[in-house]
Amino acid sequence: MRPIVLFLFLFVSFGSFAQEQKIIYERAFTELKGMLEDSIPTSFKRAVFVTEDAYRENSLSYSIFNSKITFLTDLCRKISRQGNLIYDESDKDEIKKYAAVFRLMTDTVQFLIDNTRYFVTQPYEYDFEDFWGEKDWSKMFVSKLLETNRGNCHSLPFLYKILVEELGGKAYLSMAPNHTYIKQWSKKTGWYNTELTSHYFPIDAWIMASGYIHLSAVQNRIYMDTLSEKQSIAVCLVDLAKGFERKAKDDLDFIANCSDLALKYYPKYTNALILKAETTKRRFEKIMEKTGATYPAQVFDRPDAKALFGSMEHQYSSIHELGFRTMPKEMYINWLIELKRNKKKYGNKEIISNLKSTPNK
Amino acid sequence: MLLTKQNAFLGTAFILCCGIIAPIPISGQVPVFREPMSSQFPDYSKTAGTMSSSTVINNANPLGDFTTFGSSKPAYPTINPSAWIIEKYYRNPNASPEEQRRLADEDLRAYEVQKKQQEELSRDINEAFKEYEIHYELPTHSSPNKKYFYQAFEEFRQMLSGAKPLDIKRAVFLQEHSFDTTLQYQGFDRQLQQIVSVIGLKMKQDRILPTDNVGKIMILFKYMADTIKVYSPHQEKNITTYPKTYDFDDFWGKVDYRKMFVSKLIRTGSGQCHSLPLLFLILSQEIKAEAYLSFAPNHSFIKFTDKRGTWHNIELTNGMMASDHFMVESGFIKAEAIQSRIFLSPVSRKETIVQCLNDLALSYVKKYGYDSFVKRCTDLALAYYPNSITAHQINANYFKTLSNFVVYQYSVKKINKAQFNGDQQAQTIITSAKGAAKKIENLGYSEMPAEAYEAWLKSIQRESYKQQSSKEIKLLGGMIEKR
Repeated sequence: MRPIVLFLFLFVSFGSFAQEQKIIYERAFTELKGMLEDSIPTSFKRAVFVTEDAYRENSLSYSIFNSKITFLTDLCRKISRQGNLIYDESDKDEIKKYAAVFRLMTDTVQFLIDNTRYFVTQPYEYDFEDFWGEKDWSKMFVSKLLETNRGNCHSLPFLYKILVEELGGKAYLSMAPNHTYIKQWSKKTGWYNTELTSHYFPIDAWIMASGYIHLSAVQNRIYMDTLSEKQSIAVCLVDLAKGFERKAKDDLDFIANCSDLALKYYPKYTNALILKAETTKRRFEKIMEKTGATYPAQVFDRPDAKALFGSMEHQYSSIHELGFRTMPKEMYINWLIELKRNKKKYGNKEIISNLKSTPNK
Repeated sequence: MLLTKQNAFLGTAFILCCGIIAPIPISGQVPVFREPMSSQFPDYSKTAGTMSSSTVINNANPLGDFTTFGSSKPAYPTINPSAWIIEKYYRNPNASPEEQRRLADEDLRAYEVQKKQQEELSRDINEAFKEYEIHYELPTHSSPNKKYFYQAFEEFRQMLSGAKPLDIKRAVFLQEHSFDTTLQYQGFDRQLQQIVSVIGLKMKQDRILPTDNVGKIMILFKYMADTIKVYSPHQEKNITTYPKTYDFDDFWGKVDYRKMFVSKLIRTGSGQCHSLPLLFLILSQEIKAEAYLSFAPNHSFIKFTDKRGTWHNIELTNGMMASDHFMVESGFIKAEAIQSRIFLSPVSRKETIVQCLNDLALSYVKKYGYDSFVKRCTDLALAYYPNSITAHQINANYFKTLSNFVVYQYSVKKINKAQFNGDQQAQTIITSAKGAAKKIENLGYSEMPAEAYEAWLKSIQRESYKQQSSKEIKLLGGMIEKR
């Protein structure tokens, strides 16, 4: 009798466990949806947390996450008090914030506690292992970055944006093929790029030099454009769907809901478009599996299958027309390294000289 | 491109600001016109007799003299004319007729003197007031050669409004003729027709269908970048043309503006990034091929589509097919400039005509400086090509010059700042100047220094680019249908 009870108990708990996960995801979806629909205040920090917490099965604490961010923000304030910038425009206070966050994230900074003791922060480093989160989705997370000090092109710009916004400044996410970076505005130089994976300020030519940005992709603003607040939330929404995909591969409706809602607010988000096209593809494949077909044409006699195939084809071709090209992983890494190798060629000389600080006397 | 450095006026609104504020004296200076002094200004309220000069005023009230009326005091002060009148009418009623006539003559003469002085005085006053007037138009001087510019402008206006057909050949000629009036349209056209006939013979030789756009473009490309040998049955001889080379000497036409002209390119066989694409466009118009102009920082080149709708770039300065990658490699193109389509996007035929109009404005500036004609050009240009970066630059320069001129007048005349701030017209001009500069910044414009430009153009000779170019030429060659 006892083993049966134990088995039953296990079975029930396992079933409720999966159910609970779905509930967590639904709750996260509702919260992000609320932000997009203005029923609750938009907060990128909160959106990032909610997305990561859902993947981590509600095991993260917002207050701890928040206190970590507050701690870092305080350090940034201290850094901006430490030195002075060689910058003379009226937006100097803003630029000082940006410089402080950049310094905290990319440099070893010492803080005096009293006359004998001091405290040192280490720069965040690029994690070359599984940098697209293919094996472990949580590699992309800001919470992972805060724990391990190592991040990638997803978590590093996210944290930068969160910190700058906590300080009351403005930082915009910007997209490149399989890559995210920061765009900011300064009165002296106009728009400039901040690349946190290489700790540098590259010019636009570097981003285009990846070779995977088609000219029409820039013209259509699918890459290298600043993302609005809502669009940044839409990015989190797609991240949520991607995390969910790892856990419940077959629940296509939730993924489709996420990508549809994201596209409503950010119609040219390639990752959402690809997710949507892939979902359609999987729906089609399911029909093929069910009927035991080995190639698509075998199920074309079913009208729903034919329609699905048509919309899938349309979705993929429109992604191509917008200027999207798939970038192989090796090319991506080479491109990131290219910036380190050719700092002189691809560096934004103006902004680099601007962000030099002089120590206080 | 076709902009001289002089015109490069990047979003430097702050410099403008400083320029405006600095020359205005902040200490509240007294107005420009001098306070009238009593020595210059007779006090008419006192001198009922209206006679001139200070002596009148310094003398006591004439009425006061009545007290001495009838006295035997024989005082006839000969110097003071006013005294004459008083004497005449009140003191010496019994003078002889001769005496009276003499007195009257004297009186008239005195009146003439006084009238002249008064006129001088009012002229002085008027001038003082005129000096206070601020001019809100840039000064301009008439020149007989300006009429060529005005005529050209009128023809541009007709082309753009649709009253005349869009004609790039004519537009280019108009612009060059306005600057260099020795050019003749007939001669220009004849030279072009000779080239067109060579291209026609080459097309026949290569069996290119007259309906095949890629074929025609590739023949044009060959004419520009390669040696062509054809037999002319008409002239019964072989004709050889040589590639049009890039003239690295003074390539932005800073010393000699005519360096950028298509007529110079036809004459000498060497041109630069302004004249080479324009000649290409003129020839493509003549043989009815479809090609477009496109811009990069300080540069222009040719774009066209193949049968699949893929865009290709022709870099005529090096006679190669260039990739978009090469274009952005220069490092001076911002993403915003691609998004606003000021760089790397094809320019329509009408917009190409507008670009010739911009060239007209630029050559006018080169000759006569900025004035209201330049503004008329940019207004027309922006009406038909709202994102024309060249027109926006000329416009910004015009307003910058104008606002500097207004500020200069204020500083020279030492008018205080409060008055300047209250001057609506001046403030409007300064706002326009700032707005025009901001617009250029928003379009994502960036400029390229001459050395970087030269290095970039030469970088296309790199092996990888060469290979890519020959691959593209081969690919396009395969698309050409032959008869």
